[in-house]
Amino acid sequence: MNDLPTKKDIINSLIGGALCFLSAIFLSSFVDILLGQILQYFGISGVIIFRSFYIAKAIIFFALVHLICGFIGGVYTGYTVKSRIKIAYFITGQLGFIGFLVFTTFLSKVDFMSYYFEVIVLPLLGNLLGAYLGGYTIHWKSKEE
Amino acid sequence: MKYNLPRLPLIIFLVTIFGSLILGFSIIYDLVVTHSIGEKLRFENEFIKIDFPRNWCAYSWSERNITGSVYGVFLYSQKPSSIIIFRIHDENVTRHFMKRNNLKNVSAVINFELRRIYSDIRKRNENSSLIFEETGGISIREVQANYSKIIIKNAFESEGTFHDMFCLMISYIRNHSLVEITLWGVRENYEELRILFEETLNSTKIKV
Repeated sequence: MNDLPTKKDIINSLIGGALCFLSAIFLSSFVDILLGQILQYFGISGVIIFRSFYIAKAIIFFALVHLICGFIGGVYTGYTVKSRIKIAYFITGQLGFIGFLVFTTFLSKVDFMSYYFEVIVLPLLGNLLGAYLGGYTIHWKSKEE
Repeated sequence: MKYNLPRLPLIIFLVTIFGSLILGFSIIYDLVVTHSIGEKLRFENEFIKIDFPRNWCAYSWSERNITGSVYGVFLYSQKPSSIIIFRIHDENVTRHFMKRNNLKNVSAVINFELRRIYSDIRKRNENSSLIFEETGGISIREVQANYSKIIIKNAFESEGTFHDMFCLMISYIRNHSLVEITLWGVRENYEELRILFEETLNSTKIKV
């Protein structure tokens, strides 16, 4: 029965998810501008016309936005949820993803069918993986000599 | 003595970040290498083949509705500031568009579109005025097209000064499909942009 989350654990997971979501809003705008500046600096802004560019952009966003945001949320959840409850990290990552998906859907019309890899698969994977890695980084037992 | 080994999840996290960044930028690098023709990028699909300067922003889009589909390519240059738009209407959209707006030929289409552009600008700036500067025929890759060039005086305000803009529109119908090519820019840059536009147009193949 120790594996079941308490009410406090769930609230802390949700706060972790909210942190994940808020940092995603900030980081996504920042990385978007940064990527635009990099393309402009190298004089290759024209590559954005190609479909493959959006896959590359999604991979870069996976690394610099979703993974980091999930990690931030996971670190918070790991600190506050003392027992190793895997579901807590899942809630954190999932909430961060759903919040960001709703936010981007309101902001622009997203074609989920054509861009499911960029809009759903990578952000979800990034948030979940980041949340678990963040949580386990806190709970990792270091060896002492 | 006490020491901490690096935490494995943190290492996995950092490795995943750097690995993903390397992969993402490698895809972009590969795109540039495989599509570069000198200082230009070549974009080709079932609608268009176009070579454009690498540092221009470019988008393509496709609109579909019950009447048919319109395919478009948008090119934007910051220095000198200009926009080139290609719009390729399919047979049904062409027929519907011309019937709905009572347009009989390509000249009428150009006239209608340019006036529509001007009325949009006038809504934002009542001081603007329209001058039809040039109208005529032109041959693009063995297709006879019509063109018109307009000047919109006092089109937009920047840093307290009003600037004139020009708009050059080329249009033709081939295989019942309407093609529209539009060049936009600041009037002072016309000569410079005209050369760039001609180069882009010469390398463009519209597949209708």
